[in-house]
Amino acid sequence: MVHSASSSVNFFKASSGWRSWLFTLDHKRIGIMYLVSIIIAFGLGGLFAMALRLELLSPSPILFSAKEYNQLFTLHGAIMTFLFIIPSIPAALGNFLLPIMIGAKDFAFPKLNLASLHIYILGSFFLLASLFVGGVDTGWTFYTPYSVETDTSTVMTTLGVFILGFSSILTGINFIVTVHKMRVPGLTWMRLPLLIWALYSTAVIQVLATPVLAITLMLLIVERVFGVGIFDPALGGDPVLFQHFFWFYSHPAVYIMILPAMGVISEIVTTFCKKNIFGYKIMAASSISIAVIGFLVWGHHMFTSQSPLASAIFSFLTFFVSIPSGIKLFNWVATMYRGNIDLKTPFLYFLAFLFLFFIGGITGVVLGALSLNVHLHDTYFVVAHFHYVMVGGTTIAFLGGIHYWWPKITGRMYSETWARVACGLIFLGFNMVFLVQFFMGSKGMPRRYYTYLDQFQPMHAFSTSGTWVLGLGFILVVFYLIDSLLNGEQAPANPWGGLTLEWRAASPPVLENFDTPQQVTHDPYDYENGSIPHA
Amino acid sequence: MLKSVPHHVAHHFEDADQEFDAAKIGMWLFLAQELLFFSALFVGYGVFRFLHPEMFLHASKLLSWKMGLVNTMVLITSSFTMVLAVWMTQMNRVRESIRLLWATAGLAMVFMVIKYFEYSSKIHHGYLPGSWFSAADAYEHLHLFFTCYFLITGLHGIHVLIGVGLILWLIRKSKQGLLHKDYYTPLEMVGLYWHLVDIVWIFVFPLLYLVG
Amino acid sequence: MASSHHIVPVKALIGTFIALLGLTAVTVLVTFIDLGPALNLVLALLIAGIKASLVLFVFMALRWDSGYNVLIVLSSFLFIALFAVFVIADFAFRDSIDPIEKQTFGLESPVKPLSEAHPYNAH
Repeated sequence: MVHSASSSVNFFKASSGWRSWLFTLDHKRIGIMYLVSIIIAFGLGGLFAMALRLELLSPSPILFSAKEYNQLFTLHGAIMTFLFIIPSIPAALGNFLLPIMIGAKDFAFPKLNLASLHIYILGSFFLLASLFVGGVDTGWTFYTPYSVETDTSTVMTTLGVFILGFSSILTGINFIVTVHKMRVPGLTWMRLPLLIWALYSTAVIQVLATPVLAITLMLLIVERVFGVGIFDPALGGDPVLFQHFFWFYSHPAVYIMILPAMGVISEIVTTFCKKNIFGYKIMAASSISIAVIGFLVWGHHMFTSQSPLASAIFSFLTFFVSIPSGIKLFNWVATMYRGNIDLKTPFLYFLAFLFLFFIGGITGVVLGALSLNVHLHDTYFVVAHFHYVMVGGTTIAFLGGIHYWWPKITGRMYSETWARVACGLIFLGFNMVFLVQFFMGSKGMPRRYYTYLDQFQPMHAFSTSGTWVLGLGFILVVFYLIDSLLNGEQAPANPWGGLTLEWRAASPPVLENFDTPQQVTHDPYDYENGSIPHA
Repeated sequence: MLKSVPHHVAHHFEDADQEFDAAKIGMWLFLAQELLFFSALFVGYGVFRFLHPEMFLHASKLLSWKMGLVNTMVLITSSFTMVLAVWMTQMNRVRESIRLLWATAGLAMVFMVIKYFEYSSKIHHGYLPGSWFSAADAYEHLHLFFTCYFLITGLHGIHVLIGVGLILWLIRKSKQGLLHKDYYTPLEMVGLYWHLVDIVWIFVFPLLYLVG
Repeated sequence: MASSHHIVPVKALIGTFIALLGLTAVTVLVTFIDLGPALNLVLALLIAGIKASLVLFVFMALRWDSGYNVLIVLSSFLFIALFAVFVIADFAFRDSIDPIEKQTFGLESPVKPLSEAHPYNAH
């Protein structure tokens, strides 16, 4: 462990060499390594998405065989879910920001933090190795009985996801303990920034749900390798049992993906409106209640396979989870009212989030209604719904967060003009890809199909053309951010006039985050009483 | 008398209390995670027992409840020696603590040896599920009970072995004088883990060995 | 938050140890009294629950620990209970609403009870 006497060096320059990165205990460096890994994963998953949309340009085969197409959407789903979205905001931004935002020097368990990164890398090797040993074509949900029968490498992939699960659990434990024990004096629970509340709720889900996924995938591997019959009706088992196990984790996991995004959005809206958040306490409470209620609704993924009674109960419970999400949406809008709005790039992402997450959320309520779900189950309507939440919600918030904290993380400013152009392209491209999929789905286009009826072709072609606009937007982001690293002007400590603790630190922060011990005397977004640091 | 080595608080903590409390919350979260890890196996057990109640009644009788009972006693006793080992260190009686740790590890190994005899008898009778399953006089879907049996006790057994490894590590640390009345966090944490292993077994015993 | 360095009195430890051994004997004895499978199971789980609580609250010193750690343990048991109840309830009610739907609305559920879908499964 490094006990640095001169802590006022910025963490990039504190030490050098690849070892100083790969074996660092500094949460900021670990966060940056996570950031790089998940951006690579996102690029890879995005390429698969572009490829499979290209195949869907026409109902007849273009580039890939049906089996290759199945492998494409499986890898797209698995990579995006397990390597990108789940670790995106918590593991990358959260790792970098959480200790700074509560004024701590580091996480409670820095070695555990490093271990979770190493486990993540190991797990992603396994997951990606399946590419070279026959791919996997089950869909990211690995449903039995097909995942037991297919000749592709289910075991390799599920082993990868099994390992990734432990990375997620360790991150969760670290987050909870750190929030409990490492806050600076004066930072009471009711003064925590909302991103911290969101990450805390996420961590609760990570700790309590992920082990069930791990054991489920272990059972799947046992079933496939030894043929013990737990998921095989011919041997007295039941395939729906797998679905129950899988969704007991994977539904709460949906909230692992969206909760941190909601936290980022709360940070952005307050800073760029220079106004206290509307209803702080209910915002914090709604994060926790989403985490808790999220455990009670997994059956809404199984409306066509479980008993009618269970479906009715799960449908009823599903409506409850929309209440806290709705509260958040209203409160963000109310925060803008009479705010001093500054239309910088992060705020544009906030507006995009508001619009897209609203559509994603409201179609979720539509799908939660049992009678409608039976009609829309496994159609493009579902695909469009969760992409509006996962991309329109989480990825947009992730991009917003990257832009918001980029000056803090790297110490450089990016080109505001190009950032606005890219934000516009991404918003436009995304809607082109997915809005039509709602229409296709409601007309009965099933998801995961290699081919389709001719009447769907215009809409499929339009959707595919949207991926090119979306892809261009993402490439643009990569370009101007790299340019900012090389040529960007030096960022001030507090470029946006934020009030939370991370804006008191230097840009980029020093080795143990702050030169002097910090103290908190006001609410996180109290622009009337708090003084803006470095203003 | 063993010489005590003072403990240094890690640089990012304010004091030893903060460090200890953090370790403790972390450990409880880890244990919660362990409970959920086992939960799916128990839920699977519940479903199969619900689907095939008579078979479970029959299959349970194929296990030796006496062996299960002995193992329960062994594990409870090891939990007791573990908690005494912590207490001894709290009283700064490190030598007694080391002896109790040896006793705990020994009892754990007794548990594993009994488990070994149990397993080999079950495998000998052809109860190992999958392609090895060859019990001729079997009840229909008997293999499902034994899948539950081998998965639950197997995962539990792995936890016991990990526990033994951790206890040996504690003995080493104690001998080096790193654990004493002012600092015994690792000892207490491993103790918590060991009790959790015991708790899991407390549920395994009646559910597998004493169905009816 | 008070620091949780609590030294559990040795008498409590010995008492708990004896209680655990006693309850183990009770679990075994109860099995030989036939109360019907449901009641036997409930009783077995109840005794196991008491034993687990003894270990948690005395051996693991949860009784003297911070409320948050108690909350962690309770919520994990709560989630396990919900998990088990919902999943087993689903299996129990696979075929129960079908007749109502058939009689009242003339509807067929897409879900078949396990025994019907896989006739070889029924004893």
